[in-house]
Amino acid sequence: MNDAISFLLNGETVAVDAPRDMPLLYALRGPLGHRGTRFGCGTGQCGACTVTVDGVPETSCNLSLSAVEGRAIGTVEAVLAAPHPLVAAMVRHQAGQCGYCLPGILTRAACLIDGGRTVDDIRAALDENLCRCGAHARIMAAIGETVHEKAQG
Amino acid sequence: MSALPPPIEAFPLVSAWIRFCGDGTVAVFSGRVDFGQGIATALTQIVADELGVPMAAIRLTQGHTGRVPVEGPTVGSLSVSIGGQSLRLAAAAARAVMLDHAAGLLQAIPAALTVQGGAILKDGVETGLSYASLAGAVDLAVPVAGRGAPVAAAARAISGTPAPRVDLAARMGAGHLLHDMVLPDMLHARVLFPPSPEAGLGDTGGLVPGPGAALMREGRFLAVVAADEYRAVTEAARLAPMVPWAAVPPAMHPLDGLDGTDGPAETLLGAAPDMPRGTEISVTLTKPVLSHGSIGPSCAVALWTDGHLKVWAHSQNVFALKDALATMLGIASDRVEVIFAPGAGCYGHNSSDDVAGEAALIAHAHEGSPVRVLSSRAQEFQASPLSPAMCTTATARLDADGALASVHVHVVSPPHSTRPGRSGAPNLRAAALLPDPIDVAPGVDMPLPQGGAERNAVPPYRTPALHITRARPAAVPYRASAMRGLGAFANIIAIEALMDDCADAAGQDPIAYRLAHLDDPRARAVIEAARDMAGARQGGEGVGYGTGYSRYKNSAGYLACIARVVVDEEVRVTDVWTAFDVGEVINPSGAVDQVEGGIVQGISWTLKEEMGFAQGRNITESWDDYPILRFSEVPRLVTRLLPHPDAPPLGAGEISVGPAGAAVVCAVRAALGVTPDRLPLTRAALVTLLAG
Repeated sequence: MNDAISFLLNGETVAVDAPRDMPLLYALRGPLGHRGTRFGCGTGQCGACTVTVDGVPETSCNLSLSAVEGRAIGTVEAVLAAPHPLVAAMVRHQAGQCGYCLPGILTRAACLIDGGRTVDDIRAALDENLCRCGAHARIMAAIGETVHEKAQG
Repeated sequence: MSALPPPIEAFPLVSAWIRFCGDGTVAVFSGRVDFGQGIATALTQIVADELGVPMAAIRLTQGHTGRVPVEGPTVGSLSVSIGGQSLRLAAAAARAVMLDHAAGLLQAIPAALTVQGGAILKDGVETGLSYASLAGAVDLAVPVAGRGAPVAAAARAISGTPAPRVDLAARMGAGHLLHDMVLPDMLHARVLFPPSPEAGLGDTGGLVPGPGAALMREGRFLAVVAADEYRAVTEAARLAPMVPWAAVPPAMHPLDGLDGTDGPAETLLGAAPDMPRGTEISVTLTKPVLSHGSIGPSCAVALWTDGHLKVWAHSQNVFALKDALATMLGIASDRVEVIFAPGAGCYGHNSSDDVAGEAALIAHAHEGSPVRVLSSRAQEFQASPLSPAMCTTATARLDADGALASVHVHVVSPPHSTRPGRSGAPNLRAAALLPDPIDVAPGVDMPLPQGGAERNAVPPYRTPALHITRARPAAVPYRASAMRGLGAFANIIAIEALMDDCADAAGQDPIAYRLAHLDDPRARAVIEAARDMAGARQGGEGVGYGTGYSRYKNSAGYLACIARVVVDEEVRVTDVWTAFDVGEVINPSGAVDQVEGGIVQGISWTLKEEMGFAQGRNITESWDDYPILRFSEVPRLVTRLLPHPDAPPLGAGEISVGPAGAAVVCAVRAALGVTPDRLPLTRAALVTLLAG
């Protein structure tokens, strides 16, 4: 038996009629139509499905809907729509190859940049996000530039 | 004039490649596909230059059977050198046809006409004519051969520049990748695979899916199908442990077949020389089974309507996949349409084709409903083709001056390709599970210089006597297929480690020793550039520098890199300096991107990766079981492209994995004083190595 579970998605209140133990990822990609958040492993080991929960990056493939009830979820759609300055920096640096990992990386990195974290902090935090194409150096260059621009005000 | 590229021979008409549209856009058709390597951008640049239109005017259709020229697989770093050259000739011909027509209308000579932004100018002045205005009037169904000449290298305005990727921004969000595709009334399926391809299947009558899901069985092919994706996932997970697969006997470990005793060694090149007396120096390098490790598990969508099968796949070869699907389903090939849609990077033959086969089978049983199949992470590791384990032994004898007198390279490996169509078999894993099974055929390697396992087994260094041999294990307990560089990775590492051992024996600097055995100035140039970039190469306690050089396939791109490692409890690569030469470069940013991506991947293979097997069964299920290089482990990369704009393009995608691995192995050798003989160089491997 399902009860609608409601939460804030990129600032809008949404309600999902789905099993309470369903991972947030399936609600985002299914009924909520936010398919930028990607399935990679289903066990929180690759970071492709990273979202923010009350301003903290978390993987959504192993986060049940019941755990996010009433909380504020942010996805890559919000990062791209803003657009966060990191998005333009990623394009300038041509950071990414196949792009499968990029929504998760953008979401985590944008959140940490906004939180005033250092480049070294962000690099360490991105160990939660796997990139198989080997685009790490360019991604870090884009992040470094964005952090620097933010510091310049 | 050199011969036409094979794709132009096969598709000789301009209209097969280029069509002008009334809205000012240009439709371009290519059999090459972009799985993240940037080829869509490079092909767009080439055509934009030839036609005199902006990149934004070009609409590129890639890998759609029946609509694009059959160009075979997108593999081997050949997309620019063959695919790009074909489009360049076709576009040059298209421009010539259009200008000939315009010249007739304007009563001008064609040489007086130029194109700017798609508008046709006469003596630099607008004529009111354009590609768009003539689009309906000009017949492009004319041969490419003999029409037009490509723009001279120096006059190209867009090729050779770091134009931004045409697809990168789209890849950052939903909508561009196949994984995000949604069709009305789409069904979701998850396949339940046997624990081993040969495992029998008992009575499945007791397997009853919950509401909203159905079980499909055909022979030993089992799948859970549901309208709701999460329903398919949960029911597949619930039923999987209950499937009555028959027990299968234990099998050998993948490394057990690499001692070369299963069969006779075959000579590929040269002959065993009358060995001069002298010091024999030998290096053996064992590379374990590796996974392609795509971040996105393989995905496909299929639709069966009115006897016509339409499949969207992130395949490297939609043409072979089309035929494989037709064979598996027992239908005529002209009833199958395969459309490339980008997925996650594949780095070779992963299960992108297999999953398309599964989607097709399920769709065939659900007429009118699109069916989407997505592999699980565990299936991506366990049910997919893998890069085979191999063992390369490189042996040299030195002359009185310490120079190479003879080199013997012996490669023990299964073949590196079981792609669809190889050996004439569909080579789809589901086909082997059907009531009338079609097993995956034994793999096949191309002959040298392409080579499979033996790719780059021929040392690039001058030696009076050379002997290349090959042996293969009788069987392996996994499906071996192609991954980035094939055998080049292990062969280059073995040869480069041998060169370091020989340099030591000769009392020479390892870089000077390599240079002393190289005549090709382009080879020397990349090594000298990398050497100069790296500076003093001052080693110390636990610190080592190593060099890796190769000319990919002994005939393509040149690349040298120097790695600095720090070895304490584990190996950390801190810096990699790289110089490369791939002839004409369409997009320098893209070429560097491919080279650096290959370096990072090559380091990851070298330091961390090995598929786990127990009793011959693949036990790797997750990223915890199969760690890859992470952000904090990626070294500082300094990469320099040595420009040769007038030389033929040579391809960049695969050229760096081998030299990167070799540079790391040689650096670890320098730091520890022992030559590693087994990858990956994990903490446990270092302990074993030092224990001798």
